[in-house]
Amino acid sequence: MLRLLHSEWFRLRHRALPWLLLGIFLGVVLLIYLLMWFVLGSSSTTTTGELSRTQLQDSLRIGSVDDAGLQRVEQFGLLFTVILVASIIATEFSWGTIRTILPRSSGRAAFLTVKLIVAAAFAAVLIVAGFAVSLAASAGVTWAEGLDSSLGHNFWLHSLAGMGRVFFVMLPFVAMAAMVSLWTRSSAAAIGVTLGIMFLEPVIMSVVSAAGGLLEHLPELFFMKNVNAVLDFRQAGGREGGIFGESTNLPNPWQAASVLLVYTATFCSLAYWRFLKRDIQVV
Amino acid sequence: MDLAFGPFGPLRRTQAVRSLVSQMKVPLRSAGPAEIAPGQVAVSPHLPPQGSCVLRTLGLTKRFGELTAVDGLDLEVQAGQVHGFLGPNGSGKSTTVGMILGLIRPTAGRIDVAGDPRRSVGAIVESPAFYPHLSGRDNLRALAIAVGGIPTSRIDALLEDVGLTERSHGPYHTYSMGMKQRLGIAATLLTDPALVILDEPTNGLDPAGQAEIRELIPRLAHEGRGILLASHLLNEVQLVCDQVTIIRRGRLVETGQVRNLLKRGSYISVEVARAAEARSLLLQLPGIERVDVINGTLHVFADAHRGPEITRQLASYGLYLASMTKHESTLEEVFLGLTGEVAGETSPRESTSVAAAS
Repeated sequence: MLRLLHSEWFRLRHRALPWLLLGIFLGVVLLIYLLMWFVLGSSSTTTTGELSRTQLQDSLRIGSVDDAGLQRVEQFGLLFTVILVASIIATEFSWGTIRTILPRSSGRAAFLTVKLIVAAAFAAVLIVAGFAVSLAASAGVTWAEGLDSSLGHNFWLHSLAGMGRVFFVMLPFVAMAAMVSLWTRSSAAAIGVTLGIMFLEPVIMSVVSAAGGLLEHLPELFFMKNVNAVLDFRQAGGREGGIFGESTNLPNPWQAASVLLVYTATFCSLAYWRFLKRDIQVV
Repeated sequence: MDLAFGPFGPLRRTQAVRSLVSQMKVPLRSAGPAEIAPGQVAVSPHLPPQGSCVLRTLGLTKRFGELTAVDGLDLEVQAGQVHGFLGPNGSGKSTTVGMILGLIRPTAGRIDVAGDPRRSVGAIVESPAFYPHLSGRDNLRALAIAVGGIPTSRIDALLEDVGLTERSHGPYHTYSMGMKQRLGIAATLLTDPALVILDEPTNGLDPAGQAEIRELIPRLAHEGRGILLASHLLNEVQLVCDQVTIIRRGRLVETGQVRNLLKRGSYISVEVARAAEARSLLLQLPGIERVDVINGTLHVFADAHRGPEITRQLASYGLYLASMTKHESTLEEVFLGLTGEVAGETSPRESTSVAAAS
């Protein structure tokens, strides 16, 4: 399998797409900091404005990179990782290269495992690079605005744990994109379905929550609530306002992690099951 | 389902065979001494002995729902043999090839391939498929890395051999169809396979390219490889194949040596007065079992060298020939006779059945 992994890496690093995605992602992270800095400079001095200005300053200072900074990395990193996963799997079908490489592979399971490992590695690279850019941008804003430059207690440890949490919450989406792209052999379908669920879920969640009764607790099985619970692990359980802005209490982070793990395992199992069973059309 | 890949037994170093390897610009294999005198053994120790089985399918079956694409197919390809694999469109050729390559899961039956299928089977299926952003060389490298143990020198040699060295650094998506097909052949030979599967290898090639492929195929067989050639070009198959298997609707129709199949359809056309009398006289000759009378002309199904004997036999009874011509059947005639259809059309027998049923 290591040979297959080496081959996959060889093909990926000679492809423009991952570098393009990485470049755009880092550009977006930097742009967000620049925009927020611009907003900070032009924000109102009224009482309400002062409050939001303080919040903005707090999220821009270097000591917040392990929290607010990483949430931004998660939001955009997820988007770009899903695109990559869908692409590296579906293009094997659309280019027909699967019939060239698969007979040379050490089995279908190894082939799919390598794809998932590469996808996970790409997500890890995005997170680390995104964190580094956030850190640099935040340091710049902190210095320019004269904000509090203290990193806080155990900053690096918290950052590392935060990156781990961001990586963890990306896994179900990566697995879902892999599953859909294997099922449909279309990257557009995989990207559409995965991102569609990501963006539609808050709407569905608010409707379901409003229904009350048994349905009231259904959102605890949805992605975003669990994602936010894992990301807000440091505040464990009661923090308001996740990355998609819902304001209800979050579930226990360990329970949330279990739910996400079940999703990941289910999507991976379905992907393997489908790929191991399916016939690859020769022409 | 009983699907097994495995060697048939220990692979021995092959005996001396007359090899055309010396005619190649670059030897396709790196194994063995560098200095190979013309006509000497130039066969890799990795290849099985001439005549040994490199592919065997037993009762191979594939069903897609109600449709049985391949139905209990037995097929055997031997080392050093070019085996034609023929059938009309939709007869199950590509499905069979897909099953041999592990791309399609057989419903039932068994596939045996000599050696590790990753290394011992090289295939080009319909149009070649490679990563468009990679150069030809990098595509081969990606495959070589996946398999392992293939030196860069072999990639260089293969590129040289298929005439792609100059363009090997250009992206694949800029290649012409002919160049893509050449790269496909290089990829097929990358692992020095014992079994080479070529499914329509001349697709998209110009006449010169097609001729090159026709020269390459026997060369590969002479090196000790077994070649399974699926093609619609029956004259191509007739020229290069020793053995042929014809399938129709997924079922084996005929298998055997090409020359025997051709012989079966060959006849001597004899124009003579009193055809009916002549027919019974000829049937008295030993070895002549079939004489047809078509529009007053006798079709004598016998070897062409029996012409003088036929002449003598008829003359001794006062029957003198107006003309005698040898008719050699082509593989196309044999194929159409056996499959009973022009590609894609229903056979006359089936048309009758359908009409009767409706």
